[in-house]
Amino acid sequence: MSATPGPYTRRSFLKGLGAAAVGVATFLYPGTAESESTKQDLRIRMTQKRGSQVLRRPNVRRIIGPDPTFAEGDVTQITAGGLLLENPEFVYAVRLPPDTAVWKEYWLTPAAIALGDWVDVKGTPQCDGSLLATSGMVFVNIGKRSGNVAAIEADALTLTGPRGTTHNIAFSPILEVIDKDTGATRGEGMASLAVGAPAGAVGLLLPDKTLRATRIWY
Amino acid sequence: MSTCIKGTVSWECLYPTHCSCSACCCQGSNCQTQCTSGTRCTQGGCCNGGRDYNYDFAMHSGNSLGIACGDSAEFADNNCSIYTVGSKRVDTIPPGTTTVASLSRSFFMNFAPLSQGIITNMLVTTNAGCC
Repeated sequence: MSATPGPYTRRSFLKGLGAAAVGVATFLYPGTAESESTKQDLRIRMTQKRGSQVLRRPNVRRIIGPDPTFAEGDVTQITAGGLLLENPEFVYAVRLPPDTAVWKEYWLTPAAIALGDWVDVKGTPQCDGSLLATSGMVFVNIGKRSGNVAAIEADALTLTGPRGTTHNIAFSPILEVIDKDTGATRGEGMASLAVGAPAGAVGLLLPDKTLRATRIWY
Repeated sequence: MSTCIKGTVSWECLYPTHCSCSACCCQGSNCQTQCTSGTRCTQGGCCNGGRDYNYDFAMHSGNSLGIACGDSAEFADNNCSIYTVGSKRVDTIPPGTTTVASLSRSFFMNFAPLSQGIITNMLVTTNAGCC
C-alpha cells in the first residue's frame, strides 16, 4: 500500500471540518461556489506534518484522530449520486457513482441503500470535503458477532458473547464457513463445530438484531 | 527487546455505546467502568462502535507482548506494512487478560473489506522493523 503523506492529526481534521460543511452544502445544492480558503485548508490538512514526528519509514502509516478516508453513520438523505451519513459526532457527504459495488448481504448497487440504513465506507477525500466511495468498500448494515456456541440448529446458531449476551445467528443463502486460523473454506461446513466452542460471524444485521451470517469462522 | 505476536484480528467494539475513538468508552486500570462522553480514558480502549453493539477485543495477546497497560504497539500485515492507529494494550474482563486492540472498522478496512470479517496472520509488534 502506498504511504500516507504525514499523520492526520485531530486538530488538522477539525480545521478541515469547515471544508466538510462546505462539502455537505455543495453536495445537497450543486452549484454552490467553493471558496479558495476551503481548498487551501484541505491542502494544508492533507500535507500537515506534526513537528518532529514526521514519519520517515515509507511503509508506516499512522492515523491520529478520525480517519478522513472513512465515514460511517445513518443514511439521512439520498441524492442523485450520493448520500448523507450522520452519527452522533459527524455528518458526512458521500459520493457514490452508479457503478459502485455496495455490500448489503450481497454485492449490489447504490440503489440498494435505503434511508435509515447504517453505512460504513472507505474512499477518497474530495476537495469539497465529501468522500468519494471506493467500489467494494461500501457496507450497509454489516454486523459482526463472536462468542461461544450455545446452540446449533439446521438453519441457525446461538452465540454467547463475553459478557453473557446472547446473539442469534441466521444463515444467509450464500453462507461461507471458514477456518479462523487460515481463512480457508471449511469443506465440512459447521459439522466440526461443537457447542461450547468459540466462533465468529459477519453478515447482515437485521432490525431484530439477528445477524444473517454470510461468513462464519471457527 | 522487541516482542511480536501473530494471530487473527477482527474489528470490534469495546463497549456497547456510540462513542467514537475520540471519546472515552471506558476507564479504570481494568477497563471495567464505563465513562461518560467527553472524558478521556488513558488505559481503556475506544472504538467506532457504529450501530452494532458488539463488545469484544481485536486480539488477545496474553502476557507475552511485554507492553505496559496503555502503551502502544503496532499492527503489521504479512508484508510488514505497519499501521499504528492508536492500538494500545488494554485489560479486559476478567481482569488481567491482557489484550492489544485496534478497535476501529476504518483500521480494519486498510487490510480487508469488512465483509471478510477477520484478517488472518496479522502481526502485533513493538518492533518497528517488524517480526
